[in-house]
Amino acid sequence: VIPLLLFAIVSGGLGDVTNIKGFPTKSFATFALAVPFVQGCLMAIATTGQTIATDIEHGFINRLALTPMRGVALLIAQLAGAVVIGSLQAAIFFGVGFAAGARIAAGFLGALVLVALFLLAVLASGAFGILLALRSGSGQTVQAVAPLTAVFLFMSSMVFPRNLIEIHWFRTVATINPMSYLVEGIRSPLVSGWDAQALALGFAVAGGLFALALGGAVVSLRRGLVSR
Amino acid sequence: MTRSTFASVTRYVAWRNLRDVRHAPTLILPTLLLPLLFLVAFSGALSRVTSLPKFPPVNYTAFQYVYALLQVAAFGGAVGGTAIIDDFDSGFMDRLMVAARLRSAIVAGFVIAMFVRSVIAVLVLTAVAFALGIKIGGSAVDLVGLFALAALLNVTATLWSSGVAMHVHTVNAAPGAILPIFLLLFLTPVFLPLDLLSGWLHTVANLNPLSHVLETGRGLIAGNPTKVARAFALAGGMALLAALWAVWGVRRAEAAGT
Repeated sequence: VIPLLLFAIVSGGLGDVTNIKGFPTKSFATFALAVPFVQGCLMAIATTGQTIATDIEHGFINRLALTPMRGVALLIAQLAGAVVIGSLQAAIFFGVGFAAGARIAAGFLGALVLVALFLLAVLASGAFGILLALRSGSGQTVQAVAPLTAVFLFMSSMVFPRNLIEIHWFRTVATINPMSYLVEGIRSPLVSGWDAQALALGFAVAGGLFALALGGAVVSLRRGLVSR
Repeated sequence: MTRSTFASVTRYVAWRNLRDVRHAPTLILPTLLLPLLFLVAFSGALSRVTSLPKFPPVNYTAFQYVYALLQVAAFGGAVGGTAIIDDFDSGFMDRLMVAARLRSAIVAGFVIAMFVRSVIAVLVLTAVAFALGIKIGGSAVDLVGLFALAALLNVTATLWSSGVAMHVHTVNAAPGAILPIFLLLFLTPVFLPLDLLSGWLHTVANLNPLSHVLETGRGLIAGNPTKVARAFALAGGMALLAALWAVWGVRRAEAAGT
């Protein structure tokens, strides 16, 4: 609901900015449709992390440690759940976006690429949530840290193209903020058609974050299971 | 033993809530974080929208500051309801209701405490706005008008959330105390003036009284105030309705024997 609310407010409230010279599309709903996708993937931090944190708090992970089950299987199962939820989210976001007048410049194949990037970002967020839960062992910590990731989203090119941002310090922050590249990667099939650079950067950011978070989670889980 | 008066109960409740903030200044943060994020992110990203035809001559940081100011005022009041719910949860409110003859004084104490807490948050917000390069075109009188509107909204939000807390007095009341305020604030012209909105959001924002308070506030900070009387009538009317709602809540809490 929250990603869709933000989409509704942003797309409804900024429709006129497409009249600014150099704006890449005449449909702000199309431009803004990347927002719920990115916010949706960030929410996987809280949902996936909370599940593991609850298992730790209730001692379920301790009992698992006594079984022959491999820790990696637990991670894969949690992340698979996040991907299923992400797929449903993607369908809803497209449905609402199309109803609001959004279109996909890159066509059906572009939509598939967008969903692939979104699901990779969901995996990255989910793995980060698991890492947080394993390191802290606390659902409260997961719930406290997860909303802070919204700062990265707000300080990115979420609502305006980076090349048109005229406040220098903000453009610099948005440029060094990896979230901008994820937003722009997801946005590119919608707005620009096939933009290889935006897609490559988007996949690199999502893939890099996924690899880092998953690596950290595997190490934490192994240490946790051994110590328990 | 001295008998409690309206003033003594109000003073005690206000002091007790302000003492909590003195001991834990981070209690201000929930009120401040989202408005600060809005101010910093949107004044940074969207300043170019001032080049749109029909956009009023106002610095975009100032334009966003007024929205963030109203957010601080409203959220700062809304947390009053959650503070009352906490007091019901801990059993303190039951003892307070027994000790106070005039129970509306309890709500008055929360109104004062939330106002002072919000003033602290507004000072931080304003300092950040100056760091971001806000340009104020309004006179001192205009600014008094702007802050008076924010104060009325703060009182309205405290009364509303106190009323919800007094009606429900369990943790289930928390979303009811905060969500309507949150939604009303979002369904306003957040990024562009009302005249530049279109579609459903224009219709909804036009019906939302907070939109008109926001538009007048933006006019005041730009030194081009418009429809000031209407904004004060709307803000005052909302405060009056919220006061009636809060008093009704207190009566129901009394009748429930809490």
